[in-house]
Amino acid sequence: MKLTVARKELYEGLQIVSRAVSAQSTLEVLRNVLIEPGTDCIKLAATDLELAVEVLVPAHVEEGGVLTVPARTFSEIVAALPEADVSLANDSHERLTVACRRSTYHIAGLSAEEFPPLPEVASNVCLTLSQPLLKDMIKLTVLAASDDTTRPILTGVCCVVQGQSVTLVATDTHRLAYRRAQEVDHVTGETTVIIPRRALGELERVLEEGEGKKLEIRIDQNQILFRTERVTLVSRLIEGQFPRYERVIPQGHNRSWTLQREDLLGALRRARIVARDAAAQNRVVMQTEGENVVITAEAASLGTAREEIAIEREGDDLTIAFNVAYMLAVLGVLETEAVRLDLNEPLNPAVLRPVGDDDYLMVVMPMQVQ
Amino acid sequence: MPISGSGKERGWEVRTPQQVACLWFPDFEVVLELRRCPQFRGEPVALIGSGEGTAETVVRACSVRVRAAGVRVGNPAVLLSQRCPRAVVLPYDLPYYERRYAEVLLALDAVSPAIEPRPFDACFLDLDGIPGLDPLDPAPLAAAVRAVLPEGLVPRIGVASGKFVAWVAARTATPVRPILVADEERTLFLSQAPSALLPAEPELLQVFQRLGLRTLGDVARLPRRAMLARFGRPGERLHRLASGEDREPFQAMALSPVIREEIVFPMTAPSVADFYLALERLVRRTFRRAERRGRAVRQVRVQARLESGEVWERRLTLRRPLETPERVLAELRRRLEPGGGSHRPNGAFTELALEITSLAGSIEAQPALALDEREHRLEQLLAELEQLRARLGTPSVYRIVEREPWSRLPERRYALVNFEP
Repeated sequence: MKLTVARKELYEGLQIVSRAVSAQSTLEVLRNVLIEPGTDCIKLAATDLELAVEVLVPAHVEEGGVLTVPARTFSEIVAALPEADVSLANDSHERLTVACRRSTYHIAGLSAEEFPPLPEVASNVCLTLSQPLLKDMIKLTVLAASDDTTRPILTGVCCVVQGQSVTLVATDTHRLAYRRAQEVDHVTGETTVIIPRRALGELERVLEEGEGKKLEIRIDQNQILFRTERVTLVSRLIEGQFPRYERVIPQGHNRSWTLQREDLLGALRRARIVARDAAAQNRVVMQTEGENVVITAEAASLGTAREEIAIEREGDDLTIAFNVAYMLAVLGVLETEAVRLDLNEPLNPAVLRPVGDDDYLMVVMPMQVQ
Repeated sequence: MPISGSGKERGWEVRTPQQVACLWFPDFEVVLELRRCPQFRGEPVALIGSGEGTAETVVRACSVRVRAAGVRVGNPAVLLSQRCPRAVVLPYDLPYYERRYAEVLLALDAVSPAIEPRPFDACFLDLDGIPGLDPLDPAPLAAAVRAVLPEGLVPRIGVASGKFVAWVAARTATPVRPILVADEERTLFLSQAPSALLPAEPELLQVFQRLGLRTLGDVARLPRRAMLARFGRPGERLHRLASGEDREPFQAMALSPVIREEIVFPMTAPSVADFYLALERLVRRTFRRAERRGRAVRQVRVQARLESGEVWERRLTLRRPLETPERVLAELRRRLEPGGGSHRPNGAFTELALEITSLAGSIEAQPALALDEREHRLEQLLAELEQLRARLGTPSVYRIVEREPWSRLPERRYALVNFEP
């Protein structure tokens, strides 16, 4: 192997693949990153056998040859190099030589033969999605996924491909996030799978914002593949049956509040200073008073908080309590000016929707008012 | 004496109270054993077990008579036969002492809401703002403490405006005469106390003895700079304490009741199925206890007494508080299985106990979405069974439990046990 690559691009590529490196693995090769030169680029790859990531980095390749080197050492060296072209070369002793200006490093590597290849994903279900759209879908749903490992199914995000629509749903049993994309191009097949939250988190990092940027998705029984121009990510799927989420989305409501998102976000952020006390359990109470909603929080050892914001309302007065962390998480990622809360009784699930966007909703279970 | 720490641990509140009481329980473990085995009262008693960080059997605690014979805590157990052949030797039962110490702290919660533990020989009580306690008279405090502690457990009590002075006062007090050290008397009081009471490593205290620093007054008379130069920051701290400058922070522990349930088997229970069946019952029983008050479980301790008499124990801290017995059980199963990090006991056992040692704030205040229809149906079924049980008065529903599915005898393969939701 003999090639030259821009330090910045090499470093960015390493940053992406390093997330899939298995730091705890007993297999030494899984702590390594694969370097495989192509014609005018190099492929960097890493895997922990649950998640595999490949990145293409533009490079001037003079000679081929494949090698794996410890991801951490290689990343640290590249991170510390000056902003200039980096030369990579290997020798017959599986050593990688990294040279940049007047710096030269030799890193002991391992043969690429031991490195597991990127898993093959059959084309049972294929579709093409806009990258910004998928990024938005992930951002809005993954926040509701559970971190309770005793219920592994809920640690993932359910992906439903049906007709021309793709839906992502996540729940931790206290809240449920639902995001649908309609009129999706080039969909073949239908399926319902559960994607690990981690895989979607890593994917979100690499998805680009620009309009017209597309990615290909392929799903088979056990795996899902996401491919952009530069990055390919393959993840195992979580086995099992996702709960029937449709049942918990309320079909009607007898009260509705429309609030300015920024106003609500600001009020809740301030109230959280009191509500986050252990005794307060993140509880904020929201109570209608005329055309306003009064938000209060109380912690015996800290004090009280009171915020008042204007609302447009339909229906009777109501006093209801929410976990402020759940509300802040969703309000922080929404981008619309206003949000609508559809409510029934104080202990019935509430539905938060961005005004003007019918494809997203968050069902939140209220807390006991006390 | 590890009086202070960083104070940043979860569940601890660090403050500086005006008045502190120190309760010293001399030979706490020995006293507990004598309460458990009263036939040994009056005898020299030594408790032996594995030393910390070593496989050697050492003396972990002993009574005054054993000490008088020249045996110290930490000495090899073989020394007992040479120096105190009449000593009654008992195994050091750490889980039992921990349980009893936790009970003592819970009982003292009725005297003061802020308690700093110092297992097992002492604890500190914050006396600020407690009605009925005269800051100049420790007698009402002693009476209040006596009223809540179990019979036979009589602490020595010292009261002062700092923890170290209170500790020294407790070490000087008698069971019937608590000692109060007023601020203006503290320097004189400390000057006569032995330097061995300083919170320092035994090696450092031995150095003090060799240097002739026998009392705190001897230490206080040295220049502080000399102590700093010779012993570093710890030396400066000891000099400060010996001089009566007691600014050690008070770390009040958030007390959580220990909810314990246990099953004693009429005969040894050898199988894995027995273990999990018993564990399931214990989890459900602990969840029904009123003290839980709807709070989620954060930490549990599982103990089994093995057929050999040894105690197997695992303390498992749950990654997040769990609010249903099913989820706690699932987590325990996962953690106790091979590969889960904490193996279940090997071999037959005669007793199994489960303790909820830490509870989180209530997360039942946050109801869950009704996601799973089956869970709902199960809840309804359990409610119906409860009604049936209440009406008939006897268990009428049984659970089929796999016992020894490999057995050639059909009646040994499965067993019917009372269905206990």
